[in-house]
Amino acid sequence: MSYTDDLDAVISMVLMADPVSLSVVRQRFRRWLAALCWPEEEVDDVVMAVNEAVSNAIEQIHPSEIGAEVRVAARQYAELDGGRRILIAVAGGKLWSPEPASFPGQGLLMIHSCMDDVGVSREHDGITMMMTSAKVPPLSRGA
Amino acid sequence: MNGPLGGVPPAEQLMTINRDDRSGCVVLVVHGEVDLSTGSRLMEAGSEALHQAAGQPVVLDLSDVDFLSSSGMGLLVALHDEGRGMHTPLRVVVDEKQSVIRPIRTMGLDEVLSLFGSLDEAITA
Repeated sequence: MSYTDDLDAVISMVLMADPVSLSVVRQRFRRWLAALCWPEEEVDDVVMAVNEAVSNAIEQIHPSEIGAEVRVAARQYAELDGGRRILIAVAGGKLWSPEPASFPGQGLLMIHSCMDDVGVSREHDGITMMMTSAKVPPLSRGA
Repeated sequence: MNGPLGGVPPAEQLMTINRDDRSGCVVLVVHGEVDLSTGSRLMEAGSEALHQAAGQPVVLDLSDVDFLSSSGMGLLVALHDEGRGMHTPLRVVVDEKQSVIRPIRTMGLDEVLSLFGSLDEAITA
């Protein structure tokens, strides 16, 4: 689809695993979603889900992981009917286990309420949470 | 613009708390964003206010809060419970038009907290 040609359709960042990174990731996603003309009422859901996933990764970084980082990447893609979604990946350290049993708070519940799909994959170098946003209408491309 | 953290806004700027007591209520007016970086300061200020109030109502005015994470909601519940144990009511002000009302409802906090639409309503309740 034409969206894949669009450089704006992708965002990625590496954050230090510290709570001060949260306002940075929220601000950068807000700016990016505005550039994608993402519907305003859906922006809050994406920002909330990203904030909760990164918060959880930060909270669960093991104290032995000095200088730990959290990696966040997201991309806009279009489905066959033209509807758009955001796919977000949040990767924490090896010892991060974003699972319901280990969730100290209500973060995962919040993520599920904001996203259409949530999954966790285990790679050799750590754990990644994948989140798919709700579908929003195609971007009407003016002149 | 770039501080020691390379452009990361300090948590002190991200959220401010002002005390503005009136009509026999201890009032804390919160501005900004409540998340993992700012929450502990709000917890401390709220807890201190509950202890100083000695039975008077404590009003937490969140009208100017534009982001509230699940950790922030958790601390609101903790403060509410702390106040109940001390017979000091905690009243939380959130406007219907604010974006934070949606996550509050999603988590069912509207069933737990004493919510008011305006500071005036919270004070005269």
